Amino acid sequence: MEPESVILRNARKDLEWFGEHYTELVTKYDEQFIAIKNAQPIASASNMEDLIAYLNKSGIDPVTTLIKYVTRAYTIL
Amino acid sequence: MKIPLQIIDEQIQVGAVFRAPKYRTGLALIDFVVDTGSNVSFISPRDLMKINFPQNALTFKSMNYIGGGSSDISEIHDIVLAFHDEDTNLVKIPLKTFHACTSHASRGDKRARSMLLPSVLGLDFLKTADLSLYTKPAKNIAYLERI
Repeated sequence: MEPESVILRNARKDLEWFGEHYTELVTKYDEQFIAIKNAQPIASASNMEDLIAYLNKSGIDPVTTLIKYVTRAYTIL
Repeated sequence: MKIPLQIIDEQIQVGAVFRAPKYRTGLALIDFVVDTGSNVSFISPRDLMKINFPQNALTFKSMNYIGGGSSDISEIHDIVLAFHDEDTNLVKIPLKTFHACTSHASRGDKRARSMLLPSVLGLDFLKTADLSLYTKPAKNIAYLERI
């Protein structure tokens, strides 16, 4: 399997999980960045720098990890 | 060919693998918001940080007004975005030009706000990649399609 496919397969599972659990994630992690891997939150932080530092320290590659920001607030792009 | 999208919190989202050999970033997961209201597609400040993109390689092009703030838009060149179609076949879309969005501010509230921006696939991407967007939010259906 091509490496892109491996990343995408895992990301699809994590993104689906994120969508299914979005409401409870917002309740628990409001205004936080959360890293999701293997369909579960593995770390959270109030800013990207701290989250990336934690992931690197834990031996988890942030480059291929799903990282989402959650908020109760409306998002207007 | 259809690329399935997710509708999460009333936003259309999709994961893609970003590759930019010219910038030596390796393979990176970027999750995009599909926003047809945007005339430019870009990698957000937080995703640039996440993938360790070499910011000194960026060439400023213009200012961008988004989400109530302003950011710099720079062009990046010769990238590939890879997606899975509905049969999990790899769909690679080479793009001669894409964009990186960076914040003016180095710290403080403005910088913090810029980190909240997601990466965006706008109408320019759909046009270049010859993709159509179909969405039926009431049925939680969304996909990109190339006929």
